[in-house]
Parts: sequence; C-alpha cells; structure tokens
Amino acid sequence: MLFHTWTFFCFFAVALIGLLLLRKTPFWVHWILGSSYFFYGWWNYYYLALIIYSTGLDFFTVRQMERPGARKKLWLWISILNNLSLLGFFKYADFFISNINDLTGLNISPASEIMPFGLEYLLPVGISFYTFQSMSYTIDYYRGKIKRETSFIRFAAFVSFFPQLVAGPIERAKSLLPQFQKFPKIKRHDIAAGASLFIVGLFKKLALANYAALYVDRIYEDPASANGASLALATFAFAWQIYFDFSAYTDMARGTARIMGFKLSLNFKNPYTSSSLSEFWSRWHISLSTWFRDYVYFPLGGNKKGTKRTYINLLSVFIISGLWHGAAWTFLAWGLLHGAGLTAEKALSNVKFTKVSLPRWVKIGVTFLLVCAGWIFFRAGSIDEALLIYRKIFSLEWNDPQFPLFLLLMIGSVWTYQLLFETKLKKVLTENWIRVPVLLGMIIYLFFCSSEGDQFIYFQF
Amino acid sequence: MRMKNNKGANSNALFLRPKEWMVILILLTLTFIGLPIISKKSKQSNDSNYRIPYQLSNDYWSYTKLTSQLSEKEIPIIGDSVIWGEYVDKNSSLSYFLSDLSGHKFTNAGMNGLYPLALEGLIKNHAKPIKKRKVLLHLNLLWMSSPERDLSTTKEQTFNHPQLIPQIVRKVPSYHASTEKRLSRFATNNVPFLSFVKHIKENHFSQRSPAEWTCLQSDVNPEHFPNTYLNPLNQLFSKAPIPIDEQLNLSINDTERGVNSPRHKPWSGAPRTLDWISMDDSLQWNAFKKLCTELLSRKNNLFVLIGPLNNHMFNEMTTSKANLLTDEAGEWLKSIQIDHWSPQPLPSDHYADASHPLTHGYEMLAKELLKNKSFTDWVQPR
Repeated sequence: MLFHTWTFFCFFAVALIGLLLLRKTPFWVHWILGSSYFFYGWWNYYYLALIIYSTGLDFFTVRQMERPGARKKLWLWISILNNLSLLGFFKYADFFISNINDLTGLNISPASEIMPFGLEYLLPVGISFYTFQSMSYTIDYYRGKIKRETSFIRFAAFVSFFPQLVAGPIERAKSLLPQFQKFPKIKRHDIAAGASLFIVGLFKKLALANYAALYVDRIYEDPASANGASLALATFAFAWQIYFDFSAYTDMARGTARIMGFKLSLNFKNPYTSSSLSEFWSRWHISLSTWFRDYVYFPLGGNKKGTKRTYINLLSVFIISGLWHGAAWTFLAWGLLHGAGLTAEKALSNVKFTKVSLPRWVKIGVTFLLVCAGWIFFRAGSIDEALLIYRKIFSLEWNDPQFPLFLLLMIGSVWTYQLLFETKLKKVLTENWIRVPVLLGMIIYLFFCSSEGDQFIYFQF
Repeated sequence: MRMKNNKGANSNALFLRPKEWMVILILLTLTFIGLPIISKKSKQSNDSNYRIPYQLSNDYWSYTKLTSQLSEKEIPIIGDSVIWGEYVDKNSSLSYFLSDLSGHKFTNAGMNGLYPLALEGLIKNHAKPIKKRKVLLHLNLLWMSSPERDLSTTKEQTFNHPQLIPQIVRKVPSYHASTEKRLSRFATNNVPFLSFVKHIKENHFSQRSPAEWTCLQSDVNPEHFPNTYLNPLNQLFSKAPIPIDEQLNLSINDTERGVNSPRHKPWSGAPRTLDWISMDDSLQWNAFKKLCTELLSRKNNLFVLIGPLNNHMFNEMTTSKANLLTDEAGEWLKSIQIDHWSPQPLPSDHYADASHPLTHGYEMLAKELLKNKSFTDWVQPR
C-alpha cells in the first residue's frame, strides 16, 4: 500500500477513526498494531510471519537478558545474528551464491529453490528497516540506555508502526517506544503540521520524483546509445529523483504519524546544500547514518583508535552501508566511493592547502558533483555500465540531451528555495504570503500528476 | 552568498498552521467548484452537428458539457458508435438526418464503444443535465452476442470505458482491476473536479500529465521529443484537439470516416454464428434496464431504438435468436411503458459491419423512424 494511493487514503481514514474511537480504552495500541499488520500484509501476507518472528524473538531475547544472572551478551548475539540471518537470506543469499558459483565454478542452487511450501523468494518490503529498528532496541537495552518494554503489543506496535514501517525513518526505541505508553494528545497544530508534511511529500513524489524518473529511466535504460550530455543530465536528475522520492516517503511517513499524534525523526535536511561529504551524511538519510554511527562505527572504535583505524572504520561503515542498500557490486562501489571520499576529506582537513577559504557555494557545487559521481554507481545496472557512463560523460562528445526544460525549472526552483532557506532569507520564505500560495499551487498541481503504479525507490532496499 | 549551517532547518518548512489550512481549504473549495462551472459554461462548439471528437471518447467531462449545453428543445440521441457514426462523418449520422428530415433538433450524444454497462455509468455520473428531457436511447443487442462481449466471463478482458462500469458494489466478472484502480476510477466518476482534470489532460496534454507531455516521443527516427523545450502551462491556453470532421473541412486527408474513406464500404464475407446469451443472464441487458429505470426516475421521456442489426451477416439460427432477444427487450420496455421501435433490417449494402450503417443506411433509418407513429407522437412537443 503506497502513501500516494486512494487505497492508503481509505485505509488511513479507517485507521484514524478507529484510533480516535478507541482513545479511552487500552486497545488503541492493539488497533495501531492491527492496522500496521494490515498495512504490511497488503503487499504479501506471508511477509507478516517474518516481522512477527523478528519482533517476537527480539522481545524474548531482551526478556531473557533481564533475568538475574542472564548471559546478556549471548542473548544480544542471538538477536543480532537472527536479524542479520533474516536479512542475509532474503537480501543477499542469491548475490553470494551467484558470486561463489562464478568464482569457484560450483553450481550451488539459488535461494529461490529452497523456499518451503512453494513460496516465492522475494525481498520482503522494508526488511532492512524494521530489522534495524528492532535490533537497535536489543542493543540499546544491552547498553543500558533503555528499559525493557514489558508489553509485547506495545513493542510490536513500535517495530511495525505503519507510517515508517517500510522505508523509515529508522526510529530508536528511546524516542518512539515511550510514545506508545499513553494515548497521544492530538492537537489541531499536529494535524495541520502533519497535513503540510504529507502534501509536501506527495508533491515531491508525484510532481518531482516521478517526473525526473521519466528522463532518468529513458537514458539509463540504454546508456550505450545515450550521449555524454544526456548521461550527465540524467545523473543530475537521478540525484534529485532519489532525494525527492526518499524524502517524500519520509515526509509522508512523518505527516501521517503526526496526524495520529506521533512524532518521527527528521531524515533529510536539505542534503544538496551541504558543503562537504561529512555534512552531506549529516543531512541525508539521517536515521540510517546515525544508526551506523552508533551501532557500527563507534563499536569499531570510531576515531578513538588512531588515524589509520579511523580511516578503516569509515571505509568499513560505508561498505556496509552500500551493501545495506542492495546486494550488488554497484552498491558496494557506491559505498566505497563515499567511504574513500570521507576518508580523503578527513585526511585533507589538516592540510594547510585545503584550508584556503573557498566560497561556500563552490564547496556546495563540488560536494554535489561528488555525490552525483557516486549516484552513477547507485543507478547503473552493473559496474561495467557505470564505467561506460563515466567514460561517456568525460569524453565530452555531447549532443542535444533533450532534457525537459520544465523539469529543470522545477528542480532549479527547489534547489534555490533550499539554498535560500539556509540563509537569512529563511524568515521571508516562511512568511504566510509565501507558504499559503505555494502550498495551494502544489495541491492544485498534484491533481494533474499521474500516479499509476509508482513504487518508491527505497522499497527495494 | 553567506550561509550559516542551520542545524535546526527542516527539510521543507512549508508548515501551515490550522488557520492557514482553513484559508487553503476555502480557496481549494472555490477552485474545485469554480473551475468546473466556468468550463461547463464555455461554449463547446458552434457547430449544430457537433459530436464529441473520436480522440476524446474517454473525456466524460466533454459529455457532461455537451449535455449541459443542450437547448430546451434539443433531443439527445444516446448510444454507442452506431449513434456516433463510426464510418460516417458528422453530417451523415442518425442525428443529422433526423434533424434534417423532421425539423426537430436531435443531438448526437453517442460515444464510441459505449456498451450498456458503460452507458449506465456515463448517464448516471456524467449526464445529470439531461434530466426531465426527451431522450432517444439506442440499444445495440450486439453487446449480448457472446459472454465475452457481455463481460460476464471470469476471464480477464481489456475493454473500453473501464472507468464507467461499476467499481465497488456490483461485480463485473471480466473486470479484474486492482483495488487502487477501482477506487481511483470511482473517485474520478464521483468528484466533478477530477473529471474536469482528466478533461484537461485529454484535451491539452495528449491524455497525459503535463510532466509526461514534456517527455512525449514522436514517431520519427532518430528519437525526438518535440515538447522537451516547451512550457506545458502554455498548453492550457491551446485549443482542444481538432475533430477529424473539421480536419476534413480543412481538406486534410482523413482515412477513417466519411464517404471518401476506404472504410466506408459495405460489409462482405460469409454468414456468421453468434453465441447470444440469454437476457436473464446478461450483464449488459441488466445494465440497460437499470439505465432505463434511472432515466425514468430523472423524469426523462424515453424512446428506445432497438437495433438495427445486420441480419444479412448472420446465419438463420443467429438471426432468429436475435429476433427473440429483440422481442424480449421490447416486451420489457412495454411493461414499463417506454415507447420503442425495432426497425426491419436495412438493405445489406447499407451496413459496414454487424451493426453500423453507412451514410445511406442512416438516412433510410431516419426516414423509417419518422414513419413510425409512436415515434412521431413522441417527438411532438406536449
């Protein structure tokens, strides 16, 4: 069930009305859980078994940890290994099997052939998100940062909370679980803010991301026959497409949750206004970046174990992050490129030459270009294809790219808005006379957008 | 440009307060109500023989507009492409000849591919302005000539006008659309603004969204995208697609319709057998009955034209079954006091296929209809 569908609007109306009707009973959490499972089962109800299993096991392991004399570390590892095994099987099994087969000449059967009961081998939607969310609960409990949740229903509602279930933000137990303790106060201001977020997200998805996709798909479908200018502009458009697409989901998730009285964390903070890669990662998919920082980078030693180790840690985190996005060499290369970029940025930060004060807009431009260079790996079908795209772009044999001017205008407007938003002009941009007509225009334009069958990019991760 | 790293910055900051939402809701309501009203009032065509252009066959807003602009004495003829005139130009359709021969004004309110189930949806949702009028309604029995055409088989089929058929309450076995499609079509049928938006897309953006329109590819080789550098907003002020008939007047060669078209020729081939289904089991017939009831409840004064079918094309068994169905339909109409007439088959060379007459066929049909006393009585103002 996608946010930008009539099906979701009907579902949400029922979910919200039910929630409000049950507000004075203890069953409102049950209702949220039921709604969330219905939402998830809409894709494929077999997947429900996985989320229930993952939730149940993490709830159980933490309960075991709490027992006097419990071997906490053992239970922690059981939880981690269980979640990683689920991810490993459903997300990476075929990737590893095909690579082992290629390397060794063996003929190991693909994972799809060992599925029981004739079930299809499919990547369960959102598995990367909810396993990480559930895992953070066990790790945080182990670290003594949170108390054990005594109600399974509340914990299950936290893991499967439908607004953010399939594409985040990846919430921490510390911030979201307490919100399930008592019925949230839904104020008029929350509804207004939630609706604003939802409309902005809807616009990003239907008017911008889907529009950019029309050009990107056309060019990336057959890079061999595209010219350098088309590929460069398609990469530029993809950078915005993926931002619009993913941040749209987050906006709509946050908006939906907010209307229900829940607050989800900010996941994107105008990332293409970043003046360095490290700033970019503090603004892009924040909930995942901080997850990797807290649960991978810091445990590896972070920057506390010397320069060399810091670089290795950075590279490791970004390689894992790349693989988190998908089981393909292109994602690994994307992660590696960002890891290397950040390592270089860190290494150069102490070199005098780089301390020359460049105007911020130059730094923003350079950072954007670096990020775009990474997106080529992210979007290309294979490493060879990505290298071909680089070659073609740098060959400078550029012809008319036939890039829609209206799309350029729309992206340009958003970028300008975001850049200005980071200046003193923010005050002007948040004036009533700007916000009201802009949102009105966006709503009217939305009716003219087409929405048939558009999945979100991050659903595949 | 001097910037500061604004850590508290939001991803959009387009938050509205409750009061501002109220303003937006008021403005949206005005837009939702106002734009369709303005559009409905603008003159659709000065042409007295206007029919909805073929390429706008899915633009139901145009249909609403057509029916809302009927003058007091105009009589709309409602039906499928037999009424619209699949093989003829607009000056050779049934409405043209009836107007010409009777002195009364008949309007071509036919639409291509409009089977009874879709017709019911069209009239119910998009032709409200015709209430309390005289309506000449056409029943084409060919839609009951096989379970597939009747849409009563469970095998999924692709067919015209899926938006017009029942989406939620009634089940159409051949229609397997997803819940999302059904809800979307239901909304478009029931919210006039959505129908108006579809009309804009159909008329000004080649049936696409403005974004898709800028990415349209032309048929020429090497690949070319003619709208790439155009501003889609300008399209809103462009004229709607020129009807093919008008193109003909402009001497643009049309190969589709009219006496000069190669398609405009008598049918040929061996007699066929049709797998007629019984009236009781027919979805289409039941929809037609519901349509009649709906129109009667709107105080419409109905006259139903059944056929004509090209019996020359059918074998004996098929013809006799068709006659039985015609009689059965006639009896039901009589039972609810709706006047009707089923003509004798036209001469064989007056048909282009199983049900569509050619130019002379329409002329003859109009003449025959005007000889029918119940019809002429019905036409006379009371």
